Amino acid sequence: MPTTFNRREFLKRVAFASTICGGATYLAWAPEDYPLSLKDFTGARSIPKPQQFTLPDYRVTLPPGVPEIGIGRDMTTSGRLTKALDAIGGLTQFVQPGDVVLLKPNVAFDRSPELGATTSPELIEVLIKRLLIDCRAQEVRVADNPIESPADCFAKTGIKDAVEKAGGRINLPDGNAFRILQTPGAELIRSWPCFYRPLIGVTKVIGVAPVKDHNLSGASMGIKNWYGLLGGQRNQFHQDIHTIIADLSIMIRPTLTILDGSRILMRNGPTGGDPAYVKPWDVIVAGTDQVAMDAWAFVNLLQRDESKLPHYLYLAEKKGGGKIDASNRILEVS
Amino acid sequence: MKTILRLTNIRIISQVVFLGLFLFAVWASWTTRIQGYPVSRFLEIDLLVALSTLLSTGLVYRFLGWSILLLLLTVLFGRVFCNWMCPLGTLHQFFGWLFNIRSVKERQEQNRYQPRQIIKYSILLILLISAAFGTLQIGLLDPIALLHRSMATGLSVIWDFVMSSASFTDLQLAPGTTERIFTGSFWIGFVFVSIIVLNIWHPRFFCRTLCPLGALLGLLSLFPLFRIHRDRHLCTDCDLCLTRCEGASSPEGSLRLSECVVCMNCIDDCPENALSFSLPPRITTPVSPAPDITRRHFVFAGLIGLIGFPLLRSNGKVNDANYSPLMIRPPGSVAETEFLKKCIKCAQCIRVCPTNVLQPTGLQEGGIEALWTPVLNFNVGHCQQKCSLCSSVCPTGAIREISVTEKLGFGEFKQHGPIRLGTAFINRSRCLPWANEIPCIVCQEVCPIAPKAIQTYDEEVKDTFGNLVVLNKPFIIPDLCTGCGICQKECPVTDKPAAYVTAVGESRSQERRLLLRYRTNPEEL
Amino acid sequence: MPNVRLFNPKRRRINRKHISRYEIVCSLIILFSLAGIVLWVATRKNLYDSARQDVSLEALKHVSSLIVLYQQPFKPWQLTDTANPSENMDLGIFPDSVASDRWLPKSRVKTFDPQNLYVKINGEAERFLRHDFKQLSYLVLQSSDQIEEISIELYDQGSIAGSSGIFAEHRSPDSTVEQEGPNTYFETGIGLIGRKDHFFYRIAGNRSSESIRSKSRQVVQSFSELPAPESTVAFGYQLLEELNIKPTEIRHQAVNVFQYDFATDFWFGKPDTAQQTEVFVHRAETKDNAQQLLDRILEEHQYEYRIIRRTENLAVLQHNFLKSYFIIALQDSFIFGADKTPDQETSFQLLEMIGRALPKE
Repeated sequence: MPTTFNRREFLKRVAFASTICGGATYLAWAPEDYPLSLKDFTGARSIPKPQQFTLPDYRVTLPPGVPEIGIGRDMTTSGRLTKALDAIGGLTQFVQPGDVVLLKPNVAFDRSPELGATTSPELIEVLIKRLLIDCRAQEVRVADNPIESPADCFAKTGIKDAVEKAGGRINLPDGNAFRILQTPGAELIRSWPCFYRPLIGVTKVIGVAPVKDHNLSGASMGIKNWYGLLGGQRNQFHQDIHTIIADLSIMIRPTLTILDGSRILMRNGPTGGDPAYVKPWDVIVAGTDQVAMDAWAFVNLLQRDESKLPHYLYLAEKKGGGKIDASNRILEVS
Repeated sequence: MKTILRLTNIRIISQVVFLGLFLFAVWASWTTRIQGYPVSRFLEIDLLVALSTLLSTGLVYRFLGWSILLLLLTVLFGRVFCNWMCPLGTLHQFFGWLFNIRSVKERQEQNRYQPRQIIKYSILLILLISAAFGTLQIGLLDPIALLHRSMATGLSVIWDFVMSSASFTDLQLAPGTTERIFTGSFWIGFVFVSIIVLNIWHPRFFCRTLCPLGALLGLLSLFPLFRIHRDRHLCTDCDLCLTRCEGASSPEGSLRLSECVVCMNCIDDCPENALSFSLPPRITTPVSPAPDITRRHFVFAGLIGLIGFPLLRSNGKVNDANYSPLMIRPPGSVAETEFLKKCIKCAQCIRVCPTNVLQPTGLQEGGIEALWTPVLNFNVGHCQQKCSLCSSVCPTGAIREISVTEKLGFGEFKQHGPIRLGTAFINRSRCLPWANEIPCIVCQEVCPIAPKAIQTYDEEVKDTFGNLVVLNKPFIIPDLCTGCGICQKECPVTDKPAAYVTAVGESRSQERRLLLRYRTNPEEL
Repeated sequence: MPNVRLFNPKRRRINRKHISRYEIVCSLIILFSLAGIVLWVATRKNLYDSARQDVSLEALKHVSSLIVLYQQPFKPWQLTDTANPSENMDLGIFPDSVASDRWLPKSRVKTFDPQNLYVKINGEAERFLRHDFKQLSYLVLQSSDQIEEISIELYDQGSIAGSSGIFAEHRSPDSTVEQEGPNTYFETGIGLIGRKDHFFYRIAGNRSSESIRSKSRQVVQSFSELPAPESTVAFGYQLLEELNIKPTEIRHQAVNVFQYDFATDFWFGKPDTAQQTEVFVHRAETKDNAQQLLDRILEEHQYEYRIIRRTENLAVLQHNFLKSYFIIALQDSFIFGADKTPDQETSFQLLEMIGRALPKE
């Protein structure tokens, strides 16, 4: 430390002080679009901007002449699945070697599979094995955001065992797993938190939904299944259930949708709970047009009157989610 | 080789193993992991838990008889539990050692016996006497219960946050959940951090001064088969044995047996080989066996118990006349007065609950007496239908072990009906269809009962904007409702839900019953 | 910043100079017991009863569907100042004269088809489906004082065969069947059951009262306005009607004719109301089928009947115990005959009567 205060020292201190002050003044007062400016005069800059993403179209183009919807009837799950998939050209049409596939079953409640409230684990197991062995998919992920405890729901429905046996991987939702999804064209979920983590790096998406009665909307089938990817305060959606389901039909464009008609929940949906409400059946529907599939399942699996088709199907058709009329696009194998 | 296999090293291994087992039990207390693991065994060998519930209820529940093992160990070897097994003792010792920057001389002064170490015996007396009156408060200070409560409600959240950020979801305590909440965990954490931080000023302050279990074990180890012996002919009175004495038990003079935690450090620290842990040799060194508890202590502790119990009770939160509608206990719980005789506030049930509905009770629901006992908060979660984990981990039977079949009242339990936690109601002035002409009925959709305990009046109305809307206005069928609370959890009116559950109608108490008869199941009494 | 230590600077060290062999042995024993404890915990993993965490399907089935809840009827929107909510209500297939000022529709007309008929009449649906059920229209009338209710189920059975078949299943031997215009019906305690053309209907009040009875009859009258059948009248019905058999006595049996599962689609008629005797007629698809059916009927009938006379296309039999006669004949693809006739002459008369009326091919 210098003992005397000379000019050089004086200048050094002045330079130091003015650099600090000048720098601070620039950072605090430079217009907001200047580089390094920290000015936030209105407070608008400090409003957090959530990370957003959009979903690509997961559909694959099929050769002309192949029916869009296949219906398989058989005594065994794998037989049903084979027949349904063969009708639309086989699973290898949809999933190529190296694909990362996301399966979205319905695991909303902690019910045993016999009660028909969730996708049957046998189907999941068979499907994952086919994806990994026949289609040589690189990875199969299984994800859902259930209403009840996720870990429990996957365990009690038997899906966890099935997935682990077949070699898939389960993604459970947690606080960090959601991100805002942009859905242009949607009414209610133009931007809404969506279960994002399992979708990272995914190239193909397959919905595997049970066919269930649903008290408010009429029926919960292929389209309603995507509700399980939503996060946030989704219990608000019941205020306009038909619009939200119609939005779901365009939120994600899955490669393939499979409706599991092994156990059909006829009443007291979507929770069920009494084996008497469940109708064991022998059908699996596979296809690319969810709207037509849901309409077909509503009439033929839930055996409701065609004139009472859920309103959301008409809304979904209007939004471009698919077409209700399935004639000439459907092939039944039994 | 010999030095590696000395007892102080083995003691550290033992402490690591038991702390590891304790942490493993916390980790394994999760719906997908628990399987057959004996996760509550630490509390079941806790002699204080067994003794105090024996005093309060007159009986020994389920596996609490395992505490005989601890009794045997203590009678033979003294307080080995404190320094060889107790996970909280291990933590105290570790933090006391880690941040200790004192000189050797200062350390020796620190580890001299302090008169305040008598406090723990008074605490023990007060707790046992209150237990005999019928309010079990040992959980506030019992080391195992305290540590488990702190782990389950405080540290688990921090741990999960770190693990989730690092994507080690397998190590998370509650994988696949969003943001777990534990009301009042601040104070639980505060107590825990305080007693840990105290080690910096006074090593093992909690163990020496507060721990009621240590006091109990101390009283039991007054005539042990094996103990520390000092050979006065070899001893040079150098006080080196005090340097790392964990119990502050005066090994340099006449050993205080009730304070010695058998850490064996003094043996290592004696340059003259004057100390040994053995059967009594022919020439014994003097010990001061009994702690300085006097008749005054007994009388005062008894008076506190005598005054304290009626005061706590007349507070009115436990009685059937003024109980809180929020005091909803886990399925399988015994009636409230019995519950408070059994619950040790260990928070095992809170830890294992997959939906996070179980919360430590604050002062609002149950007063001081029920502080940190489990309560269901349906704003946070709901009681999952096919789950009875809380009942299977409860070490004391405050939540009696039940199967799911019993919980739902099927099969052989039909005449008992389902276990009802309370009854749901609809607040029509907050319910969207009832009050605001907006369709909703999430509550009916999620009701897990078959047939649903929430049904609707269906009506078509023109709303205030002239649109024709169909409203399904929900109402509860109390005969079917089990009070699982999923309707409250999922109600979109989230702050004060329009569908809500209160404690009335809970099946654990006849006095809090609501219905004269259950129309859906005439067999049910 | 003064440099203060954070962690313990002292290393662990031993001052003692001797470690006994006993200590080593004890250490090893303790180590092994620790390992034993860890092992014990690890082996507990699978010692649990997973059934305790779920309800068995049997227990669920045991209580399945025991509880049936009453569902409040849907309340449609109505203007608050219109006194009569039913005024603009569309009654669907029902003639407007069904409703009146005194009897107002309580809810909208509900319709059910073969796919969802079970929703309305769960156990009975099969019965109606056997008889070519097409559609059910359902309407509830409520008296203006809101005390009495009449529910009207109008079944479109597709054909007269269907409607008369289901009608025959409903009537008991002691009910008095009345004929009023195109309607055939009988009264029950709380309403009436009847048919018109291909319609079958059941009218039931919520109690037995004169006002309900008279309203029921009035409803039947207004049913005359129901659309006439589009399809031509079934051949058997036409034929039996030509033989002057009253419509009330004509019935169609779709399956299990004479209790044989191979005999289906027969028309029966009683020429004389007072007597047991019934004539019957059936049209097979081909002549060969008819011949086969005849042979099988005769073969099976031999267990109860004695053959009196048998030619290639005609047979007369007598019942072993009742002693009544059964005559059956074959003509082209028709099988016809008479059952329970008191003597052989009547049998032949009836047979001849039908034979003449049969269309020639």
